[in-house]
Amino acid sequence: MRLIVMLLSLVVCTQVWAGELTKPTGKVLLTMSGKIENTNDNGKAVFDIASLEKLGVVSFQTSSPWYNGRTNFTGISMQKLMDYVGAKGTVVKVTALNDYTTVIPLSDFKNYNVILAFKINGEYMRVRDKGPFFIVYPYDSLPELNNQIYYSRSAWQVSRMSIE
Amino acid sequence: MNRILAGIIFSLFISTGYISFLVHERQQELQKLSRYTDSWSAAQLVSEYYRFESWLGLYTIVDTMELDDVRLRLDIMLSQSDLMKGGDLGHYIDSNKAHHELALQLQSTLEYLDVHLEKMDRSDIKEYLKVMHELDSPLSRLSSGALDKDVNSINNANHNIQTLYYIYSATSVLLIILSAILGVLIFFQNRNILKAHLQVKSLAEELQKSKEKLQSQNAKLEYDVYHDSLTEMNNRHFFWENLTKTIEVAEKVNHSVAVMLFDLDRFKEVNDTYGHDAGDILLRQISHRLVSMSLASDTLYRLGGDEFAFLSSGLTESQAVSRAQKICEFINQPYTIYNTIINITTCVGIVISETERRSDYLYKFADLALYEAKNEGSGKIKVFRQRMLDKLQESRTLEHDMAMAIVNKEFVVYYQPIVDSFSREIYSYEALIRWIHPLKGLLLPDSFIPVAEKTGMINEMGKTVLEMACREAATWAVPAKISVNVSPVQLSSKTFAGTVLSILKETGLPTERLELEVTESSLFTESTTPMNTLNKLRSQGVKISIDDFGTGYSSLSRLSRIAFDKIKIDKSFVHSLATQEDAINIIKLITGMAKSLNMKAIAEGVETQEQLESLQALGCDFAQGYLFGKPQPHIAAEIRNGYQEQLNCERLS
Repeated sequence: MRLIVMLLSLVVCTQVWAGELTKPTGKVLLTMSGKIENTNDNGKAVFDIASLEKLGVVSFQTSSPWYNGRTNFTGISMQKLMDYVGAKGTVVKVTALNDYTTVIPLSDFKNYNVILAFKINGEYMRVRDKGPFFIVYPYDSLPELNNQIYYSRSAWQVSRMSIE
Repeated sequence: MNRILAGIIFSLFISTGYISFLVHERQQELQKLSRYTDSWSAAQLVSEYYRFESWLGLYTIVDTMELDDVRLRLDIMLSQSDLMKGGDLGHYIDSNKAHHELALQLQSTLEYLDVHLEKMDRSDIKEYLKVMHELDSPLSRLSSGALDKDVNSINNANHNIQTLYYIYSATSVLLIILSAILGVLIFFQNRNILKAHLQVKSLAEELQKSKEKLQSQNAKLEYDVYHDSLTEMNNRHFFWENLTKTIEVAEKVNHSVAVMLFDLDRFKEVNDTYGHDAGDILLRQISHRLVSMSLASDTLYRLGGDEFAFLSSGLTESQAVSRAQKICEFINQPYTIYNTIINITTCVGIVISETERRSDYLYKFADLALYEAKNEGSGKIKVFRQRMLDKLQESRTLEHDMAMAIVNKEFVVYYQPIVDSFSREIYSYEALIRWIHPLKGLLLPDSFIPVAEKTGMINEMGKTVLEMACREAATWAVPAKISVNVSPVQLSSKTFAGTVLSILKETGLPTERLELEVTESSLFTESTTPMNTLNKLRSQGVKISIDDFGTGYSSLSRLSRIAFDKIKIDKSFVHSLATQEDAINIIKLITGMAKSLNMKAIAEGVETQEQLESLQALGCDFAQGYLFGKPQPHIAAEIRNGYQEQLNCERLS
């Protein structure tokens, strides 16, 4: 029974997500483009904080090279976000406000619990606090994540993503 | 060796474990190689600062640019500068005073802008750019310093990796050495095992050899167990085993079993005459002949001494007898030993049984038949008959009864007079034993003396008779003599003379009134005891008669060694007196010899007046027989009471 419900809900979800996404009402802070199936703005998917929060938030604590001690990050699962926009590529090119660009393989999101954080220690991140978005890996959960590769993929002040 | 092996294997374990640890350590160090967060963050910070500067610069000269854009850049810069307050870069900066001061300067510069930016016009910002410019080169130095630190850290990691590599190599070399030693040790171990294997193999071979030797010894032992050492013939042991087997087989196929026992006649004489060597050679030649007969499926055995056996099944009586005859013929052929021709015969006892299946009984029956054959003389063949067994049983019963009879005093003495041939006066009485058997009645000595001799009871019996006779004779008024028969068995006892003398003493009979009658055969023994006994008694005054003279093998040389007092002529000669002239001549010879040896001659079995007259004519001194009186339990009154008494009686009547 439970399985059937799950399957049904899956079907419903896909139907909801397919095609046009609802347009955000607030200030657009994230623009996604490239190989995505679901769009809401001229072939792109744009989001404000509220529209992302609606997708459901997750949080975890981790230490990192940029903060002393452990920090609590809250945001949306990157995998969920990719599913939401119907990402079809293999990598995502992330660009920050300061034009810092990094390329992340989509497989990272499947392998690690990567989030697009917009809250740090319960506070929305301003630009001067590495906001509005910060790609965070759970560095403590696996030794291999304590590596420059993942540090460099951890972009902050994210404003654009392009799926390629 | 094993301890060394265990030590090496343990070391191998430890080394391998240590190598795993080294690999892990190396991995940790390698991880460090990919960490250069400080330099990276510093570079980011510096480049962001320069970019912010350039934005500010551009803002001062381009009128179209919005202050909002500048504010965004400032925020981005502020967020970057926050990196200096904590995290890895923060730690790096805190570790160096100059860097710390630089960080404070940068912080205050940016804070000033953060507070005053919205109030500042383009010229103010232009002025402020100069202040900001002062930080450009220290920031570059910070960046390069961070890089230097990271490079050093990477260098360190590299160095550590190098060290780990050396340790790793050394451990590997150790591993190789240990493996080599292990290999050598295993090689030695293998060689030792091979050596031990060879030793075991040679041991096994030796074992096999000794096993074979043992087997051959066993075979020889087995042969020895079943074969006679002198003749190589099957022995008694073999005979008994085969007898049992033959019986078993015969029982299954419903056959009869034939057992034949052979006993050589007068083999003892061969030994005595030619020596035991000749006897052994004779036995070997006999066995050789027997084996050469090669009786198929039948078997011959030497049971011991001069006794042989033959075993067969399925023979009829006549077949068995003819087989026995054939064997006898082979045995009876003359033998040449030490250039002397020796003839020997054999008696055979045969049993053929359809029903009797007990081996010991069959053997006993054959033995009984052989005994009968032996009794009949040389070269006789006898087949077992039931009566032989009956006779044996009878004699057994007799033996038993006899033992009881001595206790129950069933033996009595009868007396037969011996008279002067001419005057017919009673010279003496012969004491004759009688057995008043409770069931069979009066028994004569012939029926039980042989049994008494065989069992040795004759000693006790003879003593009783002697005692009774002497006691009787001692009471007589007329001192007539008393003659008592002595068995050869009694004579061969060393105590006999003492017994006789003590009886005489006890009964008070004068020694010269006792006459002992001995047979010739008593003296034909190897032992000198009978001779010594007789001589001793005679020296004490006891008279000795030689009984049944002429029937045995009297040796004149022996006769001369004892001066006998009387010779008893056997009744067979007396009975033939009327018919055979030889008998007369023999009696004449004996009486003549007696006279010349100063002996008296007594004729036995005188029944007629004619016989008496002839004996008188032949010069026989005394006579005994029915003509003068039968053996009776009492004696004549004139002897017991005296002639005077008798005369008185006659007068009174």
